[in-house]
Amino acid sequence: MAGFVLRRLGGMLGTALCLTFLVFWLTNLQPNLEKLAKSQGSARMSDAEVASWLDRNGYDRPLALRYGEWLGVLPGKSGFSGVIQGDWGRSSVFHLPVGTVLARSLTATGWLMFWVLLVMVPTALALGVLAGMREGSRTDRVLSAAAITTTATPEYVSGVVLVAVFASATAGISPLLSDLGLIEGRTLLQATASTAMDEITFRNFALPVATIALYGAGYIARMTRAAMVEVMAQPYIRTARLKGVSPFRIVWRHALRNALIAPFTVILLQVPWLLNGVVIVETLFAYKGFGWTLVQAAGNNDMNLLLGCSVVAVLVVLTTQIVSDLGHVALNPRLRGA
Amino acid sequence: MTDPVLDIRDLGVAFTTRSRTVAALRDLSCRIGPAEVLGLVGESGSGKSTVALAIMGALGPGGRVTAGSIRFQGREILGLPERALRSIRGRGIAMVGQEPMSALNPTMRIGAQLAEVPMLHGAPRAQALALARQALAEVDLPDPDRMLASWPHQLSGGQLQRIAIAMALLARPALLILDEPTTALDVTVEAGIVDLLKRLGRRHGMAALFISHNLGLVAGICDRLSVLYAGEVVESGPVAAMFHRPRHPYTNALLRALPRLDGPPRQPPEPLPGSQPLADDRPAGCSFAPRCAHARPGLCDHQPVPLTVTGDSALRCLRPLDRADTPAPTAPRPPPAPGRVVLRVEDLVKHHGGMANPAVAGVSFDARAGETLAIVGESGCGKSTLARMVMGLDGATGGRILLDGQDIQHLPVERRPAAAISALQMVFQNPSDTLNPARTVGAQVMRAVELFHPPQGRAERLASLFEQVRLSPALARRKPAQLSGGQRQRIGIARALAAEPRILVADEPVSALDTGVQAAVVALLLDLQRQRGATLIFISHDLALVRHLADRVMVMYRGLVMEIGPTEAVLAPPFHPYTQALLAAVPVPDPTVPRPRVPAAFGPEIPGGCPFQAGCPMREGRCASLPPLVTVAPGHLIRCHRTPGGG
Repeated sequence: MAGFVLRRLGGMLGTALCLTFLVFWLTNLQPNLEKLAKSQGSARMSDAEVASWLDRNGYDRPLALRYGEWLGVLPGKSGFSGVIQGDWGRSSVFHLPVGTVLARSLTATGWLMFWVLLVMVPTALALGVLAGMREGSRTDRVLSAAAITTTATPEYVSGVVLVAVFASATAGISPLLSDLGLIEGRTLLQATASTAMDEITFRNFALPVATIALYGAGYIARMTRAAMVEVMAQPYIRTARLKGVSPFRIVWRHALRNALIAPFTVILLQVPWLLNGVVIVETLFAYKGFGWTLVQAAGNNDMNLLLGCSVVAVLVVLTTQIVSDLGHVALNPRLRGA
Repeated sequence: MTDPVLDIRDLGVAFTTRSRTVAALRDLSCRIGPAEVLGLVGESGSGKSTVALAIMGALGPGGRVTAGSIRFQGREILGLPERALRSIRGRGIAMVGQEPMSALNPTMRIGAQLAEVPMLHGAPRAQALALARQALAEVDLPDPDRMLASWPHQLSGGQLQRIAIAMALLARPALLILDEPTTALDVTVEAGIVDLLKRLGRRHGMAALFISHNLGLVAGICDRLSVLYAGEVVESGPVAAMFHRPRHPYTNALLRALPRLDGPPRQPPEPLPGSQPLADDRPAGCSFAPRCAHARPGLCDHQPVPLTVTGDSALRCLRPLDRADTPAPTAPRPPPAPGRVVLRVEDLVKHHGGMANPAVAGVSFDARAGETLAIVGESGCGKSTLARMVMGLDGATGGRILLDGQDIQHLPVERRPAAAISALQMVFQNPSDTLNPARTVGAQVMRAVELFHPPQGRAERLASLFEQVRLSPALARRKPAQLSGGQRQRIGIARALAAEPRILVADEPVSALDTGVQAAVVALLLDLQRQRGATLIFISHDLALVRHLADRVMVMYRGLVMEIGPTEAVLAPPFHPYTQALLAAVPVPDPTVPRPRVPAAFGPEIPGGCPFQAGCPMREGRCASLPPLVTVAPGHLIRCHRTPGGG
């Protein structure tokens, strides 16, 4: 097992190196560097001025050399100082060290993901199991239709619809509730989550969480249902039934663990998806998390911040992969000690 | 007469599919007395498993009881609510199914699954585990503590089936239903399980319903027998009478289609023509009449035949057989004149990556023109790997395969010359898995014709192939799913024959088929072989069948040849102990013949030396070294230290 983890960690490190080099190369393509020079210097610089600016700032040296400096394996102007040493450079948009910006935005997105997972996973698993217990039953058809609908609705649609229904002073249920005196403010929920940066409340956080959870839950529920249907048709479920085991115990003790093996991988794959998929929701609800930061970095050609974001994304993807593999082994005894 | 444990009267069961309702069982009656074992036999599709599911109230969403009653210990159980049924299941009636590998939960330890039964009936956990331990000892499983802590995937099929039986017995049921409990197992393992069931039955005095397609097994374990055909009981009675004096032509035909170890050799089992009608496609009169040589037109095909009950027997036939009606046995098949060697395998070895023991550990044999060579062994003995290497589907690790003196071992099938490919063709075990479900069977055979023959005359060739395997050319337009198992295997044979092979390798070609169909496919293979003078390499686990069709037999165990020689010599002393174990495991379809106690081959594997030593009743010190293959008579070799001249 230890060997397995070590091998995976090694592979992860290699992948991270390749991917960051790819991003480094792409952001350091000549046209992008010219754009950088013009945005840092002046928009009306001549070609010669651009060249001398790039020369002055060290951008004309070989790519591999600069990548090595950025990584911290080659000495730069002030000795070894790169990603490995914890020096991720300065963000040109926020005028702060990249590490500080990333820490702030990752904390914000972390809270969002935490609440999304907390709401989405149990709901999706429960609905999937419920639907898959008896294939073709009315419960199954209703739940399946609902799951397909939420998954087929993009977040920018469901987000807007949710805002209109719950957080508009003129439409949806808020005017009604306000007239009846059931709510204090003008809207039931808040359409922006910017205050959640300081303090998370149900009012400012419910809509972004619901928008993401709706989309992901449908998908996980479909996967769980398919796994459950397959498991319920297995001979060992019939064995349990014929032993006289109660229906509840059949689902809880015999079917559930077998049915969770497939969705488990899917759930963990949702984590990196969440990290990058929050772009739309964070922008929609003005929440300054990782997605919002990524958009700012890309939009303003903030190379150090973009590279930092890609390092974080790669690490999160690879970590969830390892956790997914380990969890898979824990759930499925057939994979152990082979 | 004492009250029966189970009393089924006039039971009718129908299955509703999307388009229609199909009657699966029709006025079925049977009763099982205390401590009595009733055998229920029939071909696949006869409705025998439906009986078990109807009793357990587990027919599934499409199934429905349409008529009749099922009384368990005097109480009607049809229509009972689920909660009441649950209390009967387990404690009253327990069931053991046919797939031991999938009948246990793969994510629960054996101990937890066994202990669940007493815990359901109120026992505390510690006591339940103690009972589970005891139950494992009762089914002769060694090392119960290790078993209890095991996961199902760590155990063999035979061990799992013993655990399934232990689980059924834990609740001390009044009735045990066994639905083909040994069909998925190897012959020696099967014999061990049957032996166990007999002893358990005697010890607990439990009533049982034993469902099987194998008349030989039923003969050894049952007190009474009911024969099912197309959802109806056609004959029932005490087991001795049924075997010695079958009255229904179908019972008789089933018995005659069974390959036997007793009686004259070289008599291939007698095929049963045609196939069982589908449940919704029964003929107007007797369901069996269209296949019955004894039927009289105008009488048997007229109206449904009622079940006549006399004493403890019942019969559904208007023209029952008398003793005199039984036709005389056919003349034995003459052995062929030995031809030249067409295929020679020399010291063939196959190592699978990651496995400690080679799958095939140095096998050598010759196959001559016109002869039938049987390769016999149980799962894992390497017989299928051997066939795949000969065919070029698997690469060998070492050794030579000589086709007409040319070494083709290093050539995978796609790089072999066309002549070598057409000379060597294979018939696979499971026809449903080897035919493309999306294309018509005619097109699939045609594909093989196209590969080996010029464009002109292909259609005639296809028609002639269908004729050779005795299929109506009209079937060519069907998809595999629209054919019966026997028909599909004939398509598999036609496809192999399209290349006009000189050597036909058949890997368990009939083990997935019903007895009657099996006999017909075997007869077809032998006829084709005789007509073409081809070599047949027949891979099988069934020594009784091999006895009637093979000229020579090669017995394999764990990748090694244990014995090879002419069929009569291999099946007569001096034996290799493994050959003897295989012979003892073949069920004898005669209830009066005493059965030998089969040694359970369960000992832990012993590395090195004779591979069979762990299961060998005659093991001694020198078995720690691998014995050589020793010639005991011309062409007859045995790998055992006890062989005269060996060691």
